Amino acid sequence: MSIIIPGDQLPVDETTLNSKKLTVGPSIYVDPLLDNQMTISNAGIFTHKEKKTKQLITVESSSKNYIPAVGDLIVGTVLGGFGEFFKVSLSNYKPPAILSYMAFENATKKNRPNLKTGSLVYARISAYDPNIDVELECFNPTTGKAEGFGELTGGTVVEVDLGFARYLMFNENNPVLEHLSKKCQFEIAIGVNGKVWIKGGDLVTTLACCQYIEQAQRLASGELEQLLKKLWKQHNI
Amino acid sequence: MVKLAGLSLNEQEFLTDSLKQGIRSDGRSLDQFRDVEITLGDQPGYVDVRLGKTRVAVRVSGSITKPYEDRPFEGIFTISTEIGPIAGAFFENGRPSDEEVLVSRLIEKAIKRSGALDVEGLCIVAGDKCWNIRADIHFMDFDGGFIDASCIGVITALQHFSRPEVTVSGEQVVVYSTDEREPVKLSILHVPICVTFALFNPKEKEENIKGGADGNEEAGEFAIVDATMKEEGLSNGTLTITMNKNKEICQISKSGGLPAEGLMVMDCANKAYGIVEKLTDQIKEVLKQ
Amino acid sequence: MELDAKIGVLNNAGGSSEVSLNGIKVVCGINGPMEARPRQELPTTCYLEVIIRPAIGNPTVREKYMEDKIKNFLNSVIIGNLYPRQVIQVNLQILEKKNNNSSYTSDSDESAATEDVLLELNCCINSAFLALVDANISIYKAFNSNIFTYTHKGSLVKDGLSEAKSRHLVVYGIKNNKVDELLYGENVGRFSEKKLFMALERGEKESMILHSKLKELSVESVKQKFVYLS
Repeated sequence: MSIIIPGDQLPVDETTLNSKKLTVGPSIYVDPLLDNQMTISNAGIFTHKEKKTKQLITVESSSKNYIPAVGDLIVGTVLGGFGEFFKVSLSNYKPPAILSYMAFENATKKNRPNLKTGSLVYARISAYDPNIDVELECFNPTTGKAEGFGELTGGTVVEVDLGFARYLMFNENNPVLEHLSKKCQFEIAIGVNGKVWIKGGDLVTTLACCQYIEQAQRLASGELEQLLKKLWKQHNI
Repeated sequence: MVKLAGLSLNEQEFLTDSLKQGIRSDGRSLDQFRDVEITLGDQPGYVDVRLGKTRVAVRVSGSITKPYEDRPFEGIFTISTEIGPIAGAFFENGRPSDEEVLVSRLIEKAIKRSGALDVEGLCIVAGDKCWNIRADIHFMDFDGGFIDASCIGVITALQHFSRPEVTVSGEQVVVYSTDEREPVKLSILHVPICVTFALFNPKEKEENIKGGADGNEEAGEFAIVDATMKEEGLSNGTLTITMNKNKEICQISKSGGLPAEGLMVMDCANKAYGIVEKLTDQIKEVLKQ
Repeated sequence: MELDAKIGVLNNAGGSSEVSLNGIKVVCGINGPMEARPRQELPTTCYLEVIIRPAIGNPTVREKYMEDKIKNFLNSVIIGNLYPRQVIQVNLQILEKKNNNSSYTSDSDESAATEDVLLELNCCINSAFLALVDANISIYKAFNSNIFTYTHKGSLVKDGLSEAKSRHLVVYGIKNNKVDELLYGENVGRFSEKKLFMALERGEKESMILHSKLKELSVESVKQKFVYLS
């Protein structure tokens, strides 16, 4: 793991960067006023990936502050219905996102989706610009089907660091969920905004799953089995 | 507006159902107080208190000033309880939040008005000079239990603090620095500890309009000890009981919220005593070091 | 005195740190970027709110002065145009300060108060750096702060808490692993131009040394955040 912090020099030299088409990831700031000079602006893990004709440099940072991006899958809380849309909160202290009544599968002017204030939705970010409200949709844009989007009933929500949420989401066979699936049955919806919805068989199992996910953030993968054993014993499951 | 989005219905139901079954999200029982971690600072009068995720620091300081006109034989004791946004972005800077007003009133009642600190012992020259003892509570991280944590912090810091030795000869007052003479501890008459209960009555929401029990004996009113922020947010009312080890109740505060049965209040007082005893011993242990 | 620091000490804040230096302890909690109130909104950049609470008593003009200085300097370091119309709140709570044994009256010695301001600013700035990195807020360069004192005999000492002829607070930016520009300087006392430049030069060297220590702490903190990857 190559960890880098602001003030450090880019670990890749100029000539390599200029050799192929370069994509710059987040946490590396390209300054338009200083002739596109690149500076490390956030702390995280540095990676440099090279292919035949292109390359990518990026710094993977983790924080609690979610910045939306088109295509992200999120778990949001409905704040209420206003006119033609719902206002959905993605994170605390940020302006809410907009979920149109029509942004659901089989939506027509006559049948309005039935979401109460306080209900949870799994949605996809359809539009984002830093200067206007975030827009959400509850269907897959290519197929037009719901495919798991929409209201999440029951269960509860665990708040995790953004880096961990991405880890759970984008690593298909990650040890955290693998180990959990061997212990019990559960339903899960991972929001890249740091909210993970989870529902176990009954209340105690759900609680144990919640505690497991929260504590798994701070453990190496080797210690997960022990954590599971401890939690299951604690709750007498 | 800087406001918390509030818990989703799913979370609310989950937490309330768990509480009805006697389970809490951090594994405690309904009657269990969180583990308290008390750290003394290097300088006398500084205490750091951790109650789960809640963190509060208290600093006691003293200066010499003129006593109040109508109380010439007493010293002055003030407690400052300003909660800033460092404890959480929902606390606004400069504007007293509801939580702040509550903490301020309760700490005042529990420590000042119960006479924990002997203010007459702070007098130097009657009507002219007295000690002004000030306790600044710094709220650093909020997860419920600010009242309980502050009380532990203030009473420990008051016992930890020592003021310089002072001699009076006629009109002249001589203050000795800590190198010249041993500083003097404050006179603490008793050690009050606050225990806050959060009250729940889920059945209220499904009350039958015809009145009376509708047959099912589901969990009625119950109280939990030391609620976290989420639990507090879901509660229907709070009850704070301040007691000392001598089984004396220094104050009881139940401001509005769910009407509670009289017997439940007695029950809470009994539970509180067990916690107060344990915490008083813990404070004593910490101060011995 | 040695710097003692911890990162990530608060739960509610987005990023936080606790720094002890020269007998002063400061906790910094950073909230945001978050929604701004209408009166705070700036169209193309972020609005920086700095709140400093003293160890004893209510905030006064002294704290307002420190808030103003830190705000001006942080505005040049934080990449504001990445967070338009949002607020970043920097909360600094001073927990322990140099014990002023000499006075027990309500008004303390004036020069001592000014010197205390430099010592507290020093601690606050270092604490703010660690908290900004923890909060994942984009900054142009790393930075850290150091204090130098000229004794009455004329020698230049790092830190130095006893009676001083002049005291200098020096904040340098670090870019590409080298000391870059002087970001903020505050000087109290009587000194010649030559003495000032000597202090600034010494500041460059010490800044690099302090940066390596702060970097070590930040790297360790990032490792902890990604511990699940191992």
